[in-house]
Amino acid sequence: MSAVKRRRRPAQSIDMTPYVDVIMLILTFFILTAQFKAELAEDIQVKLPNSGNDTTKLPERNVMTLVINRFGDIFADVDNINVREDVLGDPIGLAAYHPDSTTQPGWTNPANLNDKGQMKRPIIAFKDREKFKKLLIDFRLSSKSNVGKDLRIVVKGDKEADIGAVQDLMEIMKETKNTRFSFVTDLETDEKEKK
Amino acid sequence: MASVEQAEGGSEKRGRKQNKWSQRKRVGFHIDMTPYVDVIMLLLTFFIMTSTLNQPQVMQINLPKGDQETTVKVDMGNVVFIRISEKGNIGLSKGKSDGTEEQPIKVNLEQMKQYLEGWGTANKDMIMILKFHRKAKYDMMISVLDEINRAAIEKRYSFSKMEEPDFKVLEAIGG
Repeated sequence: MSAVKRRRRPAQSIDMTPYVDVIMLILTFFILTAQFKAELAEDIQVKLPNSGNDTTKLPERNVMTLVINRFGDIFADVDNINVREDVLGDPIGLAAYHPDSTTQPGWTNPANLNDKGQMKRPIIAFKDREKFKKLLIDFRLSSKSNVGKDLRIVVKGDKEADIGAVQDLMEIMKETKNTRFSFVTDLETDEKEKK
Repeated sequence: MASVEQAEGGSEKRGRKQNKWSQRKRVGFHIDMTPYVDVIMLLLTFFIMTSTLNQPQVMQINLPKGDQETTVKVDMGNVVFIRISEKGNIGLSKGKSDGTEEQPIKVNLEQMKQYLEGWGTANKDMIMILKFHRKAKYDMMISVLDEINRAAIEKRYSFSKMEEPDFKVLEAIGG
């Protein structure tokens, strides 16, 4: 009786090895493809416009992000903490500039910027156009000396933003010789295309 | 272990004991994988949750490098004006060689692409001048650029400021 029992026990336990193998493969895949977004960069929420045929992916590193929100504020940010410390004097600071003097900047109320209603990052406001232009140049120079590579510039505009702010930004970029940049868009889904 | 058993003597006894021992060994070597699998599943869930598979796309733009003062002279006959009004209407008009331009046509995005493809294949030197109203929405600008990128033509366009005459042109198509 006891011999039968003993023989049955190993047969009842399920061999988990292949299961664990597969899960390990999936795990490895996700670890390797994972990209950790800097939480800080998402502090200002924008609704991205859709576009259909842009195949270029957003660069991952060494990026200067210029965010335009629906109030027409421009936020300049780089992903390198040393560059931020260098140029802004604050490792998590966020430069802001409101080009249109006829309207009020939106960053005065943190609820305008994100859902949570509070900013993790201190905003360093620029009133003067020339100073903001100098900032963009400083970002680039500092990045070149800190990282050794040229900054790639992406413009993240809110769907609802006025083109005026975008035009002002493009004007500034032209004057600071930042003539190569890209607009960040969301891939258009087929559903939206039908409309 | 074996030597210890040998010292105990008794060949019959030893044989039975060895058999029993090896059986027990098999059971003892069975590693319980459950906690290991639990941890791996947790890790897997974490990475699945945090991974961002849909990386946003980018639209490449190259502005002309030249200084503000440098102007490029172009034949007005090659120019196509694309004007976007505050309401998001698109006014499309072709320039004439004598410096004037044809009556603007009010189009939607799909028609704009078709017109541009038609003119672009007829005239390889076509240059598009984009004029956006300051109060128009950024979404519109991306849609127009996207449509131009999609059209099977040479992508030569420039951004230009909207001025008084442009407003009048837009009024002709209903603002």
